[in-house]
Amino acid sequence: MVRVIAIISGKGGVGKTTTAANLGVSLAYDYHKDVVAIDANTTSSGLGLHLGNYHFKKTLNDVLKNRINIPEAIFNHPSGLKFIPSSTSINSIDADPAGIKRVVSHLEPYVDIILLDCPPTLGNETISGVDSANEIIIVANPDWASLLEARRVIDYANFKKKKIIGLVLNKEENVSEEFRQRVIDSMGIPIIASIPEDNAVIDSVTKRVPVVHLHPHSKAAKAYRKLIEEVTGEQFPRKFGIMSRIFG
Amino acid sequence: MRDLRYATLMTITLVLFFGTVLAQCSEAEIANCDSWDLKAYWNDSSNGCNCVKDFCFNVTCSETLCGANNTLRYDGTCDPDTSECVYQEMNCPEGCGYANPENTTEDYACIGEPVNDTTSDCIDPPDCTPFNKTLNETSCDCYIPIVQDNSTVNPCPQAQCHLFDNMELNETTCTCYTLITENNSPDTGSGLDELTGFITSIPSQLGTSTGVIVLFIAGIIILIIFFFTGNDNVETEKDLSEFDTLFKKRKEPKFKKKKKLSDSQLKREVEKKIYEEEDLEDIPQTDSGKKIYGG
Ligand SMILES: Nc1ncnc2c1ncn2[C@@H]1O[C@H](COP(=O)(O)OP(=O)(O)OP(=O)(O)O)[C@@H](O)[C@H]1O
Ligand SMILES: [Mg+2]
Repeated sequence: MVRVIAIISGKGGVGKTTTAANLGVSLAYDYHKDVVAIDANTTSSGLGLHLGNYHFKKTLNDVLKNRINIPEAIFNHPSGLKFIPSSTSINSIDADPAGIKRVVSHLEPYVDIILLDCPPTLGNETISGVDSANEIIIVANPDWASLLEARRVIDYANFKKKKIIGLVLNKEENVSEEFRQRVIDSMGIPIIASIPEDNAVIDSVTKRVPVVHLHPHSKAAKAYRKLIEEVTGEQFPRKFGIMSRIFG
Repeated sequence: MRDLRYATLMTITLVLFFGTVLAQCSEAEIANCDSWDLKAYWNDSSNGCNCVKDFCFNVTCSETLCGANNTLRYDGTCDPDTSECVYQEMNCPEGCGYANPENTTEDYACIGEPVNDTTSDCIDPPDCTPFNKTLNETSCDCYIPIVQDNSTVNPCPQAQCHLFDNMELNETTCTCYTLITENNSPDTGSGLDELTGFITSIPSQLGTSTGVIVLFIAGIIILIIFFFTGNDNVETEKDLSEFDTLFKKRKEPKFKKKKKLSDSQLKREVEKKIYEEEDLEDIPQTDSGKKIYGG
């Protein structure tokens, strides 16, 4: 069965899009999977920027508004990832996100994995994203505001009987084991990755290349590789030890 | 010839008009019949106004009732021969019922405005199951069913607020809220502090000269480890030219209306797009992107 993974959070700016970009390019480039990443943020797009470009002529919004057909909005990332951007203009913010489900089911026969980068909170786009997905990744930062809101989206995903892969604790720094255990207990889901706060990520957004490929030796990239291993259940195909640093 | 045709037409119209007007009982004749509790009736054959018995006189059909057997009767008309009301019938729409369930002999209207059947006032009831609560159908709230020994029962098993620092459970909403205390920051003990403390204590533990040598060797080892395995030392680049292009005024593309494809055509097109990569439009890459992925 095709894996349709929605990446969601309660609070905004916690790192969903960064996670989607890194997962997407790595699954395509390193694992040779057929992956489509959809920017399900029809009102606040951002995934395109992480992948190289911020403005696209044809977007998910146009598909949802029936202006174009789905294939016209698919773009090709050099990593092999397919990408459906959403609009950065105010022209089509009224696109109805309920149509995301239709887009997903049209793509399903042709790909291995569909990633949905959702907006924060439980708005229509997220609800449509969760409804279209069969698996969920929750992203949160190690602060209570973010975790409490995460709890709400976890409740919703559980209510919709979706499989939650786990929690990505992003921008974490010096978090104690006791704190992590509390998070696991109170969220009721496992922490599948702890991504450190890392300048390499900020640089990768500026340079528009996901950190797993731009700075593969950074702490964040290492953590993202662990996440990808968790998601795929397969070992990362390439090694990034001392030897690879010396010999390139 | 033409005048003759007009004249005939006019005569027919006039005859028809006065015929209809005249072929009716006058107001005086109607009032006369009324006074006998009878109905005025124009008899075409005798060409006069008669009084006849009206079986439906003073009969009003009580329509749109949701009566016994949960049946709605509407469009009632009185049968002038039997003076009985004849109704159209259908089952009562949802929401109709007896205002007082104990007294089912009473009918009441329910068309147009469905009446609540007092079992539930919630039109869109909240789902209380995620919180292991019960729906209060009058107030539309989720509530905790009262159990005898509530000291052992966690009303909101999923909200484990006690696991958080300074958090209390709001049992009505099953959410955690923060107790306002002076220091609210999570316990994030720093391993680095312990490490630096340990290193600075080495000289006093080993004697100064040995300590300096040990520190020197340790420093070299740490440098080697950092050089080979450590984090990419990335400076946050504030590349303003990127931002210039980012917010440069741009034109919104115009879309021509296209012929819609059928489902199978669409699938074929998706297949083509997904598997023949050269058909896909590429995402423009920055110099860093080109360096990493080539092209
Ligand atoms: N591990 C990290 N270390 C440092 N900075 C990070 C990290 N992860 C994300 N960021 C920064 O945080 C910002 C927000 O991240 P991102 O856009 O991925 O969040 P989001 O959850 O998708 O936001 P939104 O809710 O608005 O969609 C980004 O600009 C990114 O540079
Ligand atoms: Mg985002």
